[in-house]
Amino acid sequence: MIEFHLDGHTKGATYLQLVQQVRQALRTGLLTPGDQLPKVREVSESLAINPNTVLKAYRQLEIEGLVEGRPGVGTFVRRTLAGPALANHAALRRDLEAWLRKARKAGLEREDVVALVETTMRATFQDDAAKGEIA
Amino acid sequence: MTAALEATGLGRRYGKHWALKDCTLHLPAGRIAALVGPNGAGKSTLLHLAVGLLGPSSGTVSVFGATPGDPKVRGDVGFVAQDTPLYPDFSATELATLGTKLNRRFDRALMLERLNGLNVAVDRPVPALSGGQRAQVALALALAKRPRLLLLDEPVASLDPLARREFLQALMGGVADEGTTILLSSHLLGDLERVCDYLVLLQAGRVQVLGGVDELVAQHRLLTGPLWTRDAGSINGVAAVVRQSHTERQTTLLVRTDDSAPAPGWPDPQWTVSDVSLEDIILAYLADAGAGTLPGPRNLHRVGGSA
Amino acid sequence: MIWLTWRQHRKQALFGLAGLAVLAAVLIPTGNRMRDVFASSGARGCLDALGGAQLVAFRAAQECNSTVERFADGYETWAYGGVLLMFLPLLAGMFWGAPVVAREVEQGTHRLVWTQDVSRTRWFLVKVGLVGGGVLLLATGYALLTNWWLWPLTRTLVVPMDYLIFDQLGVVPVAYTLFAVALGAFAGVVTRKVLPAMGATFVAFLAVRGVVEFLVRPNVMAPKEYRVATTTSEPMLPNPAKRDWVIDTAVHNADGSVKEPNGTAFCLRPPPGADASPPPGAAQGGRGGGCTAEGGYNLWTYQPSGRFTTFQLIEAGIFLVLAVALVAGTVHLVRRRLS
Repeated sequence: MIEFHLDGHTKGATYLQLVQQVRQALRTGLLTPGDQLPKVREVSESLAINPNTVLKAYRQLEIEGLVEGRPGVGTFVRRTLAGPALANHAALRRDLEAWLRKARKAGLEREDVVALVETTMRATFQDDAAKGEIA
Repeated sequence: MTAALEATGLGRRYGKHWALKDCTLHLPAGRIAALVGPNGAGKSTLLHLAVGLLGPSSGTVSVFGATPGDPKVRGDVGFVAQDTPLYPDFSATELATLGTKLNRRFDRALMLERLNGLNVAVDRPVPALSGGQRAQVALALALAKRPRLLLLDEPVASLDPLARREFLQALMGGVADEGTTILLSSHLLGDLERVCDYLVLLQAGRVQVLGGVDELVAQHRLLTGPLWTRDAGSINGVAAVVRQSHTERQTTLLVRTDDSAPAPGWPDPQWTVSDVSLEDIILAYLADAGAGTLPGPRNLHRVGGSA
Repeated sequence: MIWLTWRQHRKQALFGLAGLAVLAAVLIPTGNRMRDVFASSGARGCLDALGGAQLVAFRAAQECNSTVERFADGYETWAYGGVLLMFLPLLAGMFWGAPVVAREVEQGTHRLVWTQDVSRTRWFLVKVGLVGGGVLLLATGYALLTNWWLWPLTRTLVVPMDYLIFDQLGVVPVAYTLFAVALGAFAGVVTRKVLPAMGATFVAFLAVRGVVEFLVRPNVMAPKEYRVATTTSEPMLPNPAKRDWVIDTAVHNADGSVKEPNGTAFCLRPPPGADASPPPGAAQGGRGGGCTAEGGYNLWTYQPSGRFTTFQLIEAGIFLVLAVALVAGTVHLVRRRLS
């Protein structure tokens, strides 16, 4: 079971934040097929948000084929987004931690790191996409 | 879609002063609606008319198709009045008994379970409870009727932030499974943005904005660009300028668009377009009472219905 | 609704019962003692002996009056202290009637209770019905007590139909109390606040009572008259045992003009074959003026004691009609005005 949270600084629809958090959990293996998502009432109560917003998020996930609603029971995970790469997560995480230590030693603040990662990610994934299109 | 609450030309007069005038609105069932407006805009009057505490001076109002106060719908409407009044020497248990005796349908166990879950001392007289707990008792009392329409008149106005959050949690938890329609008046726009999916904005006794929050947010944009005046001609695709501010070189406009979801690249490259939040929209309309009483209720009927 | 009304007003009910108990604790022993003295002083015996005639011999009346005075000497303060009991209906109006609606509106709880299933008309009628019923019981208890307690005094010191005494006897105290409660409830709906409602109840209650007492009651039925010639061998006085309400006493000339207001006069003519000594006491009543005009008479204007019940019913009726009208007015305002 996962617990949702709302990021007060992020503008944009609340339901998308919920969708994003489920995807994230599926990607990291926190949620696996057969797991139940929190009930609509529980989510709307704990976050003090409109139940329709939660329903909308779950519907979106259903459309994407990630979850399925079983009437009267709840909403369950159908498939994972983790893929075979999940096994590599631990190793990659260790590399990343080593890199972060290095960055800190080099005098980078948290925000510098985030900025660097974001620009690098944008450039790298754009390159890949371009290559993909050519191929 | 059935209307939980519908008003046509509704007005209420106190002496010569119209507290609410020519109010036409439609609240679809299942919505959680924010009732917003400056003090004295007629919010309490509208709620009192909807719950049958007041009778209209003009026009009509109906809940689930019947006159408010009609025995047919009396039990379907719950109300939490401003300042959450409770009998001062009663305990929550006694208030539950009151609810049981005065209603055909009343879930006493639900009310007490709910309060026990919140660690409210149900056997102490209500003045011994904190403001937040008293508000919880009033809410639990209203929810125990299992109303189809719940009207709340500034229930969190006097609460501290934590108590306010707990109140809204209880409210959302309380209605999630039932699909209860809510009309909630408040000045706390941040809370409303989390909770509400429908907006009723009153200004000087009239309905100024009405509609689904998603539709409203999709319809409004913030445009930043070179200095612009109305004389320079209308901007393509803008139905109305809600608010404008200018510096020597720059103009910022909050606009309502013609289209419910403008395409990327709109309206032209000299304008930077950004999304607005519900709070931005409400503040823009509140700042200018003349900023069009559109979108008209009829128009939004359609938008609300298609959602 | 019944539960709610009881829950809200149980304190007042207990206060009412406690008040009645205190009143009984004071009145029952003192009343018993008064009755004993009434009998042992001979006052009761001499009054009974006077019988039911309209007029009795001057001497017999005067003798009995002095016996009665001996009894009454000890109880004068009591009789006038009893007038305080008249304010009990007012207290009921202020402390039970006024808060019935006003307290709800003041606390805002009318918005809580009027948005439950029960209709507000029913809410008000049950509430006012139960409060009124409780008041009716208490007022009846109080009226029984005062009627019983005042009985020796109404036969001696005071007459039952006199101002302020009438108000404590029979059924009118109950009617006053119900009226006061209805008035309080009405005032509460108009003012929407408890204290102003209590003030308005106080003023309006005394005003209405004053108008009925001094303007309406004396004119309900034309008073009757006794005429007794001033020149007589057998002076007669109205029978003190009858307890008529004498409104006016005056000596008139033969032509009907008033010779002497507020007085009684006799000119004693010795009966045939008797000596001319006047009966003791007649000198004071005579004032020496009785003999001057032939054909003059003493005129007593009075309401006969037999009308007591009629007067009671008329006055109780007036106040009950007012009470019902006030309740109807309150229902109207509760339905239309408040929110």
